[in-house]
Amino acid sequence: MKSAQGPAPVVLLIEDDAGIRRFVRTALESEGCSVHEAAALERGRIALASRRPDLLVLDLGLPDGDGMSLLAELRAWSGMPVLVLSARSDEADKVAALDAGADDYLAKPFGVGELLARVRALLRRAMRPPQAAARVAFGAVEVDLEQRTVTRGGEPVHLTPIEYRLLGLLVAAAGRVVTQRQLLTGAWGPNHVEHAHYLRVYMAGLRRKLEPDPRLPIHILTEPGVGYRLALEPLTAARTPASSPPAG
Amino acid sequence: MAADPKRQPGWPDYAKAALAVVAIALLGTPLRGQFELANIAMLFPLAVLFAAIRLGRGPAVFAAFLSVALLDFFFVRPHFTLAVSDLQYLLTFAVLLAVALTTTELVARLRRERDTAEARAQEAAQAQLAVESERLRNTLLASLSHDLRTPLTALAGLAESLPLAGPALPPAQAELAEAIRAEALRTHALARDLLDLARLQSERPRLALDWLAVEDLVAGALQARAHALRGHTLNLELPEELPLLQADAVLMERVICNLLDNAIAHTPAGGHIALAVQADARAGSIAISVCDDGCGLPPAREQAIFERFVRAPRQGAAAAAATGDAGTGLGLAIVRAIVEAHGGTVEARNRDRGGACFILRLPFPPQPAHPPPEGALTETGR
Repeated sequence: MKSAQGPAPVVLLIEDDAGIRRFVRTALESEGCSVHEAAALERGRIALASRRPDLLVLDLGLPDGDGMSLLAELRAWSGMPVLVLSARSDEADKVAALDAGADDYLAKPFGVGELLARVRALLRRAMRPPQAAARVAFGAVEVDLEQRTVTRGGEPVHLTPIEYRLLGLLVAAAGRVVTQRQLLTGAWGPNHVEHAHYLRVYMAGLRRKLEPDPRLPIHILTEPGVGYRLALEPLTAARTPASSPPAG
Repeated sequence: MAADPKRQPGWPDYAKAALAVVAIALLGTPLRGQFELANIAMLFPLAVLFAAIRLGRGPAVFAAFLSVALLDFFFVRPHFTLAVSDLQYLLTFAVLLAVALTTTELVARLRRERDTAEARAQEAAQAQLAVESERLRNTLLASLSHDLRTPLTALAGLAESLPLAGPALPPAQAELAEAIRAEALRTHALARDLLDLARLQSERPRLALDWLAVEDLVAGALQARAHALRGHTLNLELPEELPLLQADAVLMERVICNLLDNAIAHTPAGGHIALAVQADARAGSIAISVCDDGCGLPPAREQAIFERFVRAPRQGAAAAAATGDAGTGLGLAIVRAIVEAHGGTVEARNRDRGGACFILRLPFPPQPAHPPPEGALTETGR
C-alpha cells in the first residue's frame, strides 16, 4: 500500500475470468500492491510456492478444480491471509470457505471499494506485530485485552464471561466475518455448534451494552446466513448500496 | 387381465355376466336327465369366475345369484318355474352360492392387491422423476446464475476501475463509466431476481432455516439500505424481547430490503417511512409492516402488484436514482414467493391518510430453550 513503508505487498490472484483478473489487478496496483496472476489451480499452486505472496485472492470455481482444495493444502503450511471470491449465491459455500480457513470472502459482483477495504484490512492484520493489539477501540468502547476490561465512554462495562469471550473472538478478527460455528465453538464449546439461538440472545445483549443504538448497530454487524463482523469504524464499506444493488 | 382397475363396472358388464351364465345354462340343458344335478351345478361357478376376473366384483356377485336362479329355473323340478319340489336342492343352491361368492371375493382381493402394487410402483416412478427433474432444474439455475454473475462482475468492475487505470477521467467520461457500471449491476439484479424467482417457485424451494432474531433482520436491511434511506425520515418501532423466527436469513433480509426499496421508490424525498414489528403471541405470528406516505397503490390493484413485472407509477427519476436502481418489477413478486415459502402471508393496502402499507405475517415456532445460565459452565473468563 502507498502509505505503508517497506516493500510493496505481494498479492497472488487466482481467478479464471480474464475480465475480473484485469480489474482486480488495476485496483490493487492503484493501492501500491504488486500483483501476480494465475488462471487455474495448478499454476496458482506453483505461483504460491515461488512468489510467497502476502495475500492470496482465490476464486472458488476454477476450471481445473475447486479452490477449496487449494485452501485446505495451504492451511497445512501457511497462515497467509486468504480472501475468497465466490460467484456462488449459497451462503453455505461461504461458511464452508471461512470454516476451512479463509479469512474473508467477497460475493460477486463486488465493487472496487469493497475489494480494497477487505484487502487493506487483511494486509494490515498480516503485517502488524501480534502483541501490538492489546487495546482495541470502536466508537466509545475500548477493549483492553491484557487487563480483560471493557469501558464505554471511560465507564467500565460489565460483561458476563461468555459475552467477553464472544467480544474477544470478534475483536481478534476485527473487520472480518466470524462464522456462527466459530463463535459457538469459541464461546460454548464444540458441542454447541447447532445452538444458533444462543448467539441471537447473547449478541442482542452485547449490542445493548456496547452499541450507541442497539436497534441500529454500527459495530456488531450481522452477516446474514454466515455470522457476525465487528466493524471498528462505523458503517464499513462492506455493504454499501453501490456494491449490493437493491432488487426492483 | 383386461379389466381396468380404476374403472367401475357399467351395465354392459352386467349384461356380459348374465350372458355368461345363460351360456352355461344352455350348455347344461342337453345334459339334463343324464347328469346329476349337483354336477351340472358345478358348471355355474365357471361363469362366476369369468365374471370376477374379467368384469369386476359387482357383475360377479350378480352372476352368482343369477346362477342359482337359472339352476332352479332350468334344472330343478318342476322345470321352468322357480318352485322347488325337494328341499335337498336348497342345499345345492346354498353351496353353489357360497362357492360363487367366495370365488368372487378371492378374485376381488387379488385384483385389489395387484392394483395397489401397480399404483405404488407408479407413484415411486413418478417421485423418482420429480426428484430428478428438480435436481436438473436446480443445477441448471445454479450454473446459469454463476455464468451470468462472472461476466457482469467483470463488466461492473472494469467500468469502476477505469479511473484507476490512468490519469483522472474528464467528468463526462467518468459519468459514462459510472453508467456502464450501474447498468451492469442492474442487469445482474434482473438476472438474479429471475433466477431466484424460478428457484422459489420450484415445488420444494431450498431454505436454509435457522433461528433468527427479527432485530437482526431489520438492522441488516436498514444497514444495507442506509444510503438510499438518507433522503427520508425513518420511524422504527421495534419492541424488545421479540420471539425468534425459523427462517432463511438471506431471503428474509431480501424481503425487508425489497419492501424498503419499494417504499423509497414511491415516496418523494423528505417523506416518511415507518418500519414496525409486532408479535402476536395468540396467533403465533410476527407482523412486520413497512408503510410510507407516498403516492399509495393504484385503487383495486392492491394484490396485482405482487405479480411479476407489475409496477405502480414512480416518483420520477429522482427516486429511482436514490435507490441506484430502476427496479426490475420483480421485487414484490419475490417478497411474496419468499414469505409464502416460509408459511407466511403478505398483504398491501392504502393508508387512510395517503401512502401504502405492506404487512408481512410470519409464523414463529415454539421457542428454543434459553442458553444455560453461565454459572453452569466452566469459566475460563475473568
